[in-house]
Amino acid sequence: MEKFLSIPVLDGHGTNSQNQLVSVTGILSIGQPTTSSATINYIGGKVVTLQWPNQFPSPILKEAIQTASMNALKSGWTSVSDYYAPKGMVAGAAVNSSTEPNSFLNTNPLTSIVIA
Amino acid sequence: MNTNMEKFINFKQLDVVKTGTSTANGAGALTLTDSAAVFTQLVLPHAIVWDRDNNRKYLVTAVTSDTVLALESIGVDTGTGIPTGADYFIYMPEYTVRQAGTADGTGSFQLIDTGVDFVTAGVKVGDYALDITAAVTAKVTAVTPTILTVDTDTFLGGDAYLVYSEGANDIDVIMRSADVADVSNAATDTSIVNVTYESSVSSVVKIDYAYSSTVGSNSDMRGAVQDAIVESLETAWPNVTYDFPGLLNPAVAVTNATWLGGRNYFFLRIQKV
Repeated sequence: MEKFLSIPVLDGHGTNSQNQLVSVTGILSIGQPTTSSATINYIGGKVVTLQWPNQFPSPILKEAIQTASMNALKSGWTSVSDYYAPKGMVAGAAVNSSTEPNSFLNTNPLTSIVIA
Repeated sequence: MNTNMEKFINFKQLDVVKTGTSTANGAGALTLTDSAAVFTQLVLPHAIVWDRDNNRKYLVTAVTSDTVLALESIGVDTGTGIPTGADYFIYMPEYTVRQAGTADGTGSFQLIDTGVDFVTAGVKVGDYALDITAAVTAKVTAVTPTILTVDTDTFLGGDAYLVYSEGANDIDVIMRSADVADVSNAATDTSIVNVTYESSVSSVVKIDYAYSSTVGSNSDMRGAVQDAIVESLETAWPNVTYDFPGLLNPAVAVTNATWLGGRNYFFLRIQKV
């Protein structure tokens, strides 16, 4: 069964964020190598690194990703993609963009999601 | 379609409360010395010290000073103390430190520190407040952000203190229990279990633990991990995680009677290698 976390991450412009899918299928373990990153290690050897803009002492990010991943796996099979708001992010609100430009932007989404 | 269930074991792994490097030779003396440390504000007796370079584990028998710990060797891989230059980790299996510092005021039956927030630090009624300067331990009876009311009138302005609660300082760590190919003791150390997965590349999770048995080459933990893997895979969906139930299968006598109220093992690190 395929399951994903849908996570807001900054786009190439460094301003807007789009949601990026990260698989929670085939996870071997989850780690927090630094105060601003968490890694998802897959059984096939791939590693996804999630980079936060702010610092959180270990194991805060690791436990957050563990919890989100396990909750996604517990959801019914038709819930293929579970939204995950990264620790520290404040979701933007869609309001009148002519009077409040940029009000829809998320504050502190992930800086990057990289797979290696 | 044939797919595997996603299943995980949830371990309680002790959190590292202090890392450092030994600055004096404690080998033979059963001590750890770190001139850069302030152990009195981090560590309590019965903390676990892991000599990472030599893979030896110890219990703290006394916090001798800010920079020196007295140790007792534990487990089968007996050590004699932390040699110079060895990297170490320290864990707290009995207590969790909430706040440490220096009192900056004096009040009757009070610990006052206006530079901290005891509420944010998680201090609760029933926690312990150690007056390091006077070597007296009191119990917390009321909590405000900067003042703790305690049941013993001991704290004066300028006293170093440590506030801690009962219970291990541990975290949840998940490990995949599906797709396991092999569970083995490490070849050279009896306090490491390696879990190898079916995969085209090498996927191994290494479990480092402290175990009170002094009988060498026993496979108690390997058996317990194997049992947990089987139990985990037998649970029904949507139980994705299975809490490690403990060592239910010791095949050898646990001979280290001084360990932590009968608790005979602790997980120190579980991670992919």
